[in-house]
Amino acid sequence: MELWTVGNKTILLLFVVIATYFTAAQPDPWIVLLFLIYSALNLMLHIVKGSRLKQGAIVLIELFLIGCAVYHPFFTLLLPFGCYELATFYPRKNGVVLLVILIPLIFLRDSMMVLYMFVAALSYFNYVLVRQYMGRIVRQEDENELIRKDMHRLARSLNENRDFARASEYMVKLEERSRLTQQIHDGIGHAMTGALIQMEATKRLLHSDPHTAESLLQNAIGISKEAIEEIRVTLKNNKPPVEQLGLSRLKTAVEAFSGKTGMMTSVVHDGNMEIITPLQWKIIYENVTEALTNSAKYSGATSAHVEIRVLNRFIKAVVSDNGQGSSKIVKGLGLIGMEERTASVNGTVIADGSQGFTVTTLIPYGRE
Amino acid sequence: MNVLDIRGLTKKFGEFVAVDNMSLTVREGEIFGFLGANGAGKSTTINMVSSLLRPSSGEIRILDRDITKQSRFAKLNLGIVPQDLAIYEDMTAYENVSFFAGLYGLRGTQLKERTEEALEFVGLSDKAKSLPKNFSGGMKRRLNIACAIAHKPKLIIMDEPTVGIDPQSRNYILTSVRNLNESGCTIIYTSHYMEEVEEICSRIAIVDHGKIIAEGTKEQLKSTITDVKDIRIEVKSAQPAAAGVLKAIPGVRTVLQEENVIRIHSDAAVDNLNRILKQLMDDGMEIRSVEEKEPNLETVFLTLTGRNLRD
Repeated sequence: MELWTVGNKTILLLFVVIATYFTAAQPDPWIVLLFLIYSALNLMLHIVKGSRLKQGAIVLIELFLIGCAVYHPFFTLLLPFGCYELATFYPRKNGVVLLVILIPLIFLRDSMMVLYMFVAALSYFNYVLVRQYMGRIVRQEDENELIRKDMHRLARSLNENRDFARASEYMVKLEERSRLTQQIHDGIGHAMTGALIQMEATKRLLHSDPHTAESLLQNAIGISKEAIEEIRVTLKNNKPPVEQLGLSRLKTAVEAFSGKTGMMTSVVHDGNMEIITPLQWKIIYENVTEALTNSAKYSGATSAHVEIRVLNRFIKAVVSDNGQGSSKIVKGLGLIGMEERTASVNGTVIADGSQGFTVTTLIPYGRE
Repeated sequence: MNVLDIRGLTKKFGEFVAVDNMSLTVREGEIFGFLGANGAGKSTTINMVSSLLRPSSGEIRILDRDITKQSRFAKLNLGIVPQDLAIYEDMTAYENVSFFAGLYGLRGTQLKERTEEALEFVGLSDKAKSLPKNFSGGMKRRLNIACAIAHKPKLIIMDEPTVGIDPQSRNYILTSVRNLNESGCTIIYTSHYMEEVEEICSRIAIVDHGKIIAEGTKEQLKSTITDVKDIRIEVKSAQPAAAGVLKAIPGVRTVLQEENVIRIHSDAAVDNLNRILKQLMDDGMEIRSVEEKEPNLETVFLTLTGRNLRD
């Protein structure tokens, strides 16, 4: 804004200087002096701080110009600009400004009047437009700032989510590991110790009593075989199911929701959960929690039911409540968000309000 | 060639979204089924295709030409059999058909020929001089069809043409749909009667809440929920060895034998019932009853949406 004012003012001043130079019969040192004083006052305007002082400076300039105008009419051309500058301190007073800058017209004659009108109108138009655009830019910058903050917040919550997922994964691993250690210690460890003792005894009896030694050795072999079998079984049982993380995370979230809102919830699943990829789990998780939040907010329902089914070509996730439903569904941001998320994996979301409210997420998946 | 191309079609009535970003393609020579519950957005879509409603957004092309830019071309190639009867009760059947064909620019002998042809096609030639107000519901429906086909459109859209008519007229209409298709027409058939759609359509789209939730041949649609069919055969006296032999038949997954009942799980995609029965008969078993439980489109719809087609 400032650069624009300075530029315009300079152009206007140059015009006035040149105009006075050509109209005057001979050079007038007084006029030069007045121009210089005018420039100095303008410089001062940019040096002083605080809106009071600035306004004072502008009023001073205007008074000075009026004084000059008595000496040479061309100085009136510089008047409107000061008015605009003053007006920037009082937004929404454009009409008043227009009236004020028309006052000098009373004192002007003929070509001077036309010139003044031209300059005043042109700069008024300029000024109004610039003010508007500046306002718009400021608003947009504010908005940008808000969006930036929002993005920052979302990125942070994303990170937290990721951290949470990582942490829970780690917890599961730890639990798994401790269980495994316990099992190895209880079963296999004891068995191996038993076998070892028997083999030690065999070593001692090998020469004195070969018969007993043989039976002891046979024992040790038997125990070792069992232990190996146990290792196999333990390892097989402990192979962690891939789907557990996704499903248990969903169940935890649904239970947490139930605790927070007091709504009854249930989660059932059916079909081969293993084929659901982490990305699909993420979408299902987000859609389910979003739908539950909507239920709690709008439906007046007392219970909500979550169902995950893996069909032959589709994964289906349903959230249904026993609330009031809605005969004509108006899509809010939540539903649109779900649709967009789901569309990213070629899926669809159906919202139905005929019996309670039901949100169904259908995600196709490839077999073969 | 694609007879109908719909891209991102959306229709909003105020805040309510009746058709939601729908995209679909109907190829030449298809009988394309549009299956959905009442209020799913079928008729709204059809009204947009026939330029009765202006889409909120999206694009519709008939025979590769945009219907808003070349509306005359679109109308000449399109025949609509509306859900609500569009015939004049106090004009004869002949006059009705002739009037609608005339709207499409047919004149003179051509108009006469085409009118007679259309009446012949729907089996109303002998009623040409009668007034529709004396017709049965089924005959009115047939006349309604004749009005839509006299100008020989490439694409015919039938919006619930069998609502509220007797079984005989219904069969007649289904047969004439097939005949029309064989004579080179592409047909879009909307219905909430699953059996009809399953019977005549070569490809089907299931619509719900303005969206297409699944699309394909009926076999493909059924396979979206399961690929196993359940066959239950009751025989007079079962041979103990039956199970082993049956398992060798392609498609058969498991065979369970409980006294005189043999239960077979088989791939739904494989047509093997004949071979199974033949095998049993060759083994000297007398068959008393056969029951085949296969998912139908109704179950597909129910499984995908959790609701019945006729709610």
